[in-house]
Amino acid sequence: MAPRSDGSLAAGLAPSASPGRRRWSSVVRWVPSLAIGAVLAYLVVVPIALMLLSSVRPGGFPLDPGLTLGHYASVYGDPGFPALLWATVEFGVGSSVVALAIGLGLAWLIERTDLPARGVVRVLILLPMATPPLLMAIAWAMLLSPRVGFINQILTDAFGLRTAPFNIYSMLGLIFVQGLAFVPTAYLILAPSFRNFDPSFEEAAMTSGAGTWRLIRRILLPVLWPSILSAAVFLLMVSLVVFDVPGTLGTPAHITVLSTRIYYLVSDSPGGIPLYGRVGALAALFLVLLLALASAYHRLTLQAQRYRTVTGKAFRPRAMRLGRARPAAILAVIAYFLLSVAAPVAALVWMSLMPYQTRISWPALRLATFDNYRDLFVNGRVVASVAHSAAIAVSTATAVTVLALLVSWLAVRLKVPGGRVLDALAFAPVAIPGVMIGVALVYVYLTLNGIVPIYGTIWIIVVAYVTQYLPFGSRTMSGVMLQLHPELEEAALTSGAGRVRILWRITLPLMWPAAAAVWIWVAAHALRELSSALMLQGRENSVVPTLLWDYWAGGEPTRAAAVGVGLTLTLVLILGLWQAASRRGTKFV
Amino acid sequence: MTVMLRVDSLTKIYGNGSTEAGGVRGASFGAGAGEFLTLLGPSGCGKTTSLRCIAGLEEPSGGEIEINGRVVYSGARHIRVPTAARDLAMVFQSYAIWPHMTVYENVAFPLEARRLGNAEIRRRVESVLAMVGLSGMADRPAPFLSGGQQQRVALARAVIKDAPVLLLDEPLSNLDAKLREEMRAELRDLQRRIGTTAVYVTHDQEEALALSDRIVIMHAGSVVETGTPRQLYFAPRTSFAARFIGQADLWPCRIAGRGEDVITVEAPWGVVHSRCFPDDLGAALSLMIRPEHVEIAPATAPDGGASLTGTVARVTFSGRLAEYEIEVGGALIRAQGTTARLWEPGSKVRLRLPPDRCVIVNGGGEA
Repeated sequence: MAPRSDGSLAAGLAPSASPGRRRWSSVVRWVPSLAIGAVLAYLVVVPIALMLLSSVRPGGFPLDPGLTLGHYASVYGDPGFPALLWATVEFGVGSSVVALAIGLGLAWLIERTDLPARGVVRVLILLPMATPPLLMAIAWAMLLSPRVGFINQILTDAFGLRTAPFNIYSMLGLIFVQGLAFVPTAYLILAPSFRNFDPSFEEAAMTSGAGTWRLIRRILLPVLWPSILSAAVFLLMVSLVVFDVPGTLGTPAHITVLSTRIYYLVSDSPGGIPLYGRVGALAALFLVLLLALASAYHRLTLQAQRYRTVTGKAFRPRAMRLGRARPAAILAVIAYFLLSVAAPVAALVWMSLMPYQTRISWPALRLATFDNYRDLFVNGRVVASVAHSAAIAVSTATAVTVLALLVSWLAVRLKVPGGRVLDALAFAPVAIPGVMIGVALVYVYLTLNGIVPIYGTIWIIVVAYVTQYLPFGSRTMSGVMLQLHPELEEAALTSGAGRVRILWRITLPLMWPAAAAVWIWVAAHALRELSSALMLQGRENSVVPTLLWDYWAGGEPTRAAAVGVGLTLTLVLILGLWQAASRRGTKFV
Repeated sequence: MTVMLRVDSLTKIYGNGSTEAGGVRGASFGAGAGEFLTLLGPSGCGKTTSLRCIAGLEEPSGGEIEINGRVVYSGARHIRVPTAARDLAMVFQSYAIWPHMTVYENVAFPLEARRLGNAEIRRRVESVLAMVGLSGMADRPAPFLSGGQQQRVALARAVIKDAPVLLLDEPLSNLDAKLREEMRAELRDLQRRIGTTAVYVTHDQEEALALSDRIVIMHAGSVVETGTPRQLYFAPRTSFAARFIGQADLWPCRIAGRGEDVITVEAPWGVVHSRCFPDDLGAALSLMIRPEHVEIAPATAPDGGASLTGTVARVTFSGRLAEYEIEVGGALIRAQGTTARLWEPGSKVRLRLPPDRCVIVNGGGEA
């Protein structure tokens, strides 16, 4: 999947004759690929296969007898299905467009113009990652719910309105919140190509007599087009399957999308028994949709690399003068931070200090109490969830880092036979949404319960998260591994060092900062992931996001807010660490 | 001179077996103890691939490689000694200085890999650092080195192994012109002092001429010609070598008469005598004349047997030297002279072409 350098280290290490000549050594060469391949297949292929199998079983379980297409008929023949599909597309496309538009604007302002305090803005832009989409949705419900939303109340009081001006429980509301939540992702994909755009392209255009507008239209946009397109496809891929926002805001609005439909088929089916057969049939559509998008994404990123604008020479990007538009640009950036960070966090903090849901006002301030926070430390359920979350985050991050390191080392560096397949397997889960991984694991561990009894424990959640974050881990590691000059390891070979010494003394120390960055990123995301944990929730394995979900859905917004504030603070801390580690990660390459 | 390196019919085919750039097709060469051998050729000629095959970083498709009397690779006999067990050290084009280590740790690594004691390692690292002029820099972290210093660390790390064969892959190409000439001299000095056999890869013919005892010229994966710098400059045997080393005019020619040690050839613009020609004269021949070997005299000067008359068509003046294009019999012959005497366009001149400098080479005018 990734561009390859030549396989010199493999040649320098393997003491074998050409393949096929010495049968035993060629068998030995396959051992690492087969071992890692088996782990990856177990994580990625088995769940999907079992899920698809169960979609054609009358009883909905993989080991049931019989074959049927009944589940497909009932899912796709349902008169509500076109509406479901339409809502999913509307939500997905809508939120992607919002995120892309804001992300493009911010990337351009920060990387290519003379916006003041760009350095600070560049770091702050990642702040919204500390408020997971679930929290964003909850906070915006507090701000814009038609009856009790803070902003709605303030506006109706101020202008004497009859009805609330905004309603977050609507398709527009869903798109707005999800769009905002995606902005950092859009920015992170787009910013590097804006930043690395070789100024000599621009200078050549200007000396050819092109003005600003022509420059943007004829040079900047065409060169950046592949990056923009790949960001769009990536966002679409995620937004079509995302659960948190539609799960939180969609139900009161009677808006159901694919992901929430699957959740309700499992948790709220009319007969009380999860309709796993139908879930499998519905998930099959997901799979087709996402595989198509993933292959498009892959092709686009390859193209983006061909357009890669880094020349290796140090240069300072040309900053475009904003001139009279400068105040407007500053206001726009401030507005973005207000909407994505300040307003939601303020709503959460207010709510968390109240004994019950209270509108924002001076007199209400007298009610303020830390009871909700005190509860965090004494309530057994909260304490258990925090402990579970911490254990899951640490195990997941460690497992992903080790696996990703091994895969990238085997596939990129040693070029073991089958390395491409390993790489592809590790990347494949990018096309499998959390809800689906959650559901698929239900099949696996209900089936395997006699052999691997982890159903209902925190370990099933670890398995789900490892699968979910493996693509990020292996992508990052392979990227750094590719950037490490192969001669660094070859020099160790010609110095007379063996395989283990090279890995230990050269490769690992050089990969260490990147590994730390991956570890922290995965830990942070494991702390905030809701959808798969929700699908796998049992009595013994509640985590912080599911606790938050339960409090919110159970009508305890003040407790939910306190948990949310705690989670946000933790995530801010971890993301700060991640930033520091990533910066070190690029030190050597 | 004992043979230190022997490369025999080395073949390396990439991917689908097409004659893709960088492959090697049956290259054979060798180097004696203490010899400085250079693999020279345009990019994609297979010189770096050959070096990497010798190092064991690339697995050949066939042939045989012997280092210090030990066969390290043989396609026919299924011998394949891993890199770490080969008697060699290598300097890389990118230097490959490990950024997470200090200068000392970088240079000590080969000894550490050999599990020597700390005191012994320290003694040897210090002496090698002194040898490359880096005394007192031992504790500096690698990222804080200039290009020239990195080059010296890379050299020290290779030299400390005391391997009988030292491989160098375009080690000077990343330095600026002035530093390159400095390092060139130091490199040659160092190699002589420690008496190692050096195999040096470059595409820079000037570098090759200045450094080497012997040069192997490669083209499209094969060895075209091997010789000392003087042999290749004064008496190349192929048109490719003639073009690749120095400046040369090549003219298609036909043998008109043959004496004991002199051949009379007919070039498009006239007849000259050559006393320099290969033993194995082929069907297609070219006459090579280097502009700096053409002597220009006034048209009134005596003929002397080996001369032609012509008219100066163009002069390019560069201070120390002047380049001329001189029209002779409808063709333009390039010549070069010091500016002690300058000829103006239109001047009638007599050209002297010494038979020792009229070289007949195998191959047509096209390389």
